[in-house]
Amino acid sequence: MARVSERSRFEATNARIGQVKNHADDVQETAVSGRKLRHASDDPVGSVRVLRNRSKLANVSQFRKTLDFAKGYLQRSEDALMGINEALIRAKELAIQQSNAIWDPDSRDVVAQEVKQLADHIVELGNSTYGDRYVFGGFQTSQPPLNSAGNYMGDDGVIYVQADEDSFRSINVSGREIFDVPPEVEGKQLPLVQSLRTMYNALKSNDLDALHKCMSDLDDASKRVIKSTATLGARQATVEDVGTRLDKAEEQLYKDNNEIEGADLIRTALDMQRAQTAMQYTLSSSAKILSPTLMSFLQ
Amino acid sequence: MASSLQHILSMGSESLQNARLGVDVTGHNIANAHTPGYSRQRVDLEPKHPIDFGNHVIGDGAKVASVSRAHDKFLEVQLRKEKQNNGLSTALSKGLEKLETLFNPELSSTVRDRLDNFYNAMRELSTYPEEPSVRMHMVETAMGLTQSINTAHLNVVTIQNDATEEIKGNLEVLNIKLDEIAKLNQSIKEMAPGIPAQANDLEDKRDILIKEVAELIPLNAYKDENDNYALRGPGGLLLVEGPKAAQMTMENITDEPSNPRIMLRDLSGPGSRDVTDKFDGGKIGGLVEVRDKHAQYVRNMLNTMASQFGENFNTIHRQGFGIGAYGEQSGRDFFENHDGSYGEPAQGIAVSTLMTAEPEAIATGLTMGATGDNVIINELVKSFYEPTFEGNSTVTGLYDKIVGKLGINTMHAKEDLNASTIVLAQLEGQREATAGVSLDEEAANLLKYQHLFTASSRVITTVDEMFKTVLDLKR
Repeated sequence: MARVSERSRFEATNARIGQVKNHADDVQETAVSGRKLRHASDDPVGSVRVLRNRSKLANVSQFRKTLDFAKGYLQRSEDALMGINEALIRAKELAIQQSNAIWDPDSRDVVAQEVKQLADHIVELGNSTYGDRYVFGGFQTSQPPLNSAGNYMGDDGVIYVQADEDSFRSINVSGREIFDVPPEVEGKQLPLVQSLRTMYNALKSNDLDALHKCMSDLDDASKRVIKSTATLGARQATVEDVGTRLDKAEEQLYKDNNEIEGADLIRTALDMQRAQTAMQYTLSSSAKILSPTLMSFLQ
Repeated sequence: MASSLQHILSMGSESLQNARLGVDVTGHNIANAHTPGYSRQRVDLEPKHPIDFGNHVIGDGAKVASVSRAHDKFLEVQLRKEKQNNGLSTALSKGLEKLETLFNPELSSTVRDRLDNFYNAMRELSTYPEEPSVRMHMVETAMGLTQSINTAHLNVVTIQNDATEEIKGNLEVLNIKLDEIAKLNQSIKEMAPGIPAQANDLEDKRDILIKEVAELIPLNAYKDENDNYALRGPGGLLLVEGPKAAQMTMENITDEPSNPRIMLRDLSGPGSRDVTDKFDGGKIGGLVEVRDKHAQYVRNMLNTMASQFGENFNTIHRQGFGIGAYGEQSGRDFFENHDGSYGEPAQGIAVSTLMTAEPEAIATGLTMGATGDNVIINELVKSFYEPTFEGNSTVTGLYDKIVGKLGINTMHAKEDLNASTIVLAQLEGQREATAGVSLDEEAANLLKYQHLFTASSRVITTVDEMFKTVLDLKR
């Protein structure tokens, strides 16, 4: 039988009380903070995951801002292209109408005025801005891509922005493709605005051959505008799609972090209850066991 | 002739003395019932050498053979070993917890948060490269990032300096204890043959001191041929031999001002030697490990991060053009002082003064004079995902490595401390079972010696009456 000394009795009691208090403190901290992950050492692997998720969450809100910007930019470009297309359709109508010999020079002169207005309108649309930026100028965003003569002054820059963790997406359409002619037909075909200006001159001078010739140029320009509009539509759809995916990812990240960091409240409440009971029992049993010694019974 | 009355009388009075010594020692035990490290003492009685009376051999009463202490020297060895482990893991877990706090997952505005902010500001700049306010915001988040790296570095260095100060304080305590042990060696040698009870208490004191030294440093203690304790410390070097004790100090022997070394002036000869790396146990060993291994690791990682990050960033940034007055010039650095030209990289790294003064100088585009060009800024954002650090980590990966490693090390240190505390408590319990004082037992001893005293005095009164009878014979 082992001897039990005074010191070991008191030390053991002290240690036991210390233990239950420590545990109670720990449980209480969890309850108060609502977190089970308070130090990296509580769950080293989980901590790193929480940090990564938190970065991703911070990025998600930035990606959202970028997406909103991209949506606006694409929308603005689309609106402008639709306007240009409508103007081109109207010009084509006028060209077909006026190529008929029944019209006299006076009425052609009136139509010429309308064509001039259409050309000016297209230049205006080509110089559309989104938040002070010219959308059709490539990287040349701070000066108008079309001069008053309708010549393309921008460059071929493709603007990419990051829309989610793993992809960069282009948000602009090439102004050169719309307002300039492809290199293989350089010199044979006129750029968009020039062909309207030629049409105006043809109408003014009552030159039906020239009017006829610019009709095919208008056709080609219209095709290029429609092609660009189509790519815009596709890109808008993907941007919407990325937005939905971001929402889902965000939800998942929150859930993931909560599972690692957050304390289970019901369990914490039970733990608290248990800690309290343990403490009461330890204290009351210690009080009972420490006091008696043989000394008290000797006379 | 049979035994004489005188003989009985002297036997009785000796027994009376024995009983008094018994009560005396019991009183001493009771007084020290709660003294830490005290070993219970007991009176060892034995029959005196018998007397030869012609045909009979009769007893000569009892004498005190010794006052010995209940002591288990093998347990002492185990206790010393465990105290050493406990000292080490206490210091380790405390130090690591301090370090860990710097990288707590609860914290905001850490290096990692600032990195996120900085990169998101660059993503914003990628959408508005020509906007001055966005440029300014990007520079400000960059400054926030460099400041947080500077602060993290400073915090780690502070922890190292604190550890150094703590080691210094502990070395002073250690030197005093070593001195005391050497003195006790001397006193016990002088006192031991004469007054055993005194030497018991001094030996207890020496045992306590040796255990306290073991808590501080790796220690091997053994008794030499003169019954003196010899102590061998870190690297097996002699610390105490007989009445002589060695001394340890802390000195700057390298150019690195924050990490001075522990020097030992030992007993073998003049001069002192560097023993810092030999502390593989004890509290001081733990502090050295925190300072030179764990905190140094974080410090090195921060430096790697700062210098590589600054360099990678600048390499891309130099290719690009700014806007406005800087639209036609490339080749500018964004970060500076991360190459060790101003203290350590993590201490020095800052945003170049040109960038803070003129945000237009930030390189965003690859094309000269194109304000909407965001190619370079996109390249910079992409570099965030590039595993170019320490072989295969991204910049945040490097940070995660620090957090993960610190977390795991702290977890282990806490577990070690828990285990060692339990073992230590068990050993202390075992020690208490042999050496501790039990008041119940002492109460019984009191009764025992009291009865002995009463009975012995009865012997004396009986002899007294017998003397009277003899004297009354002649009236």
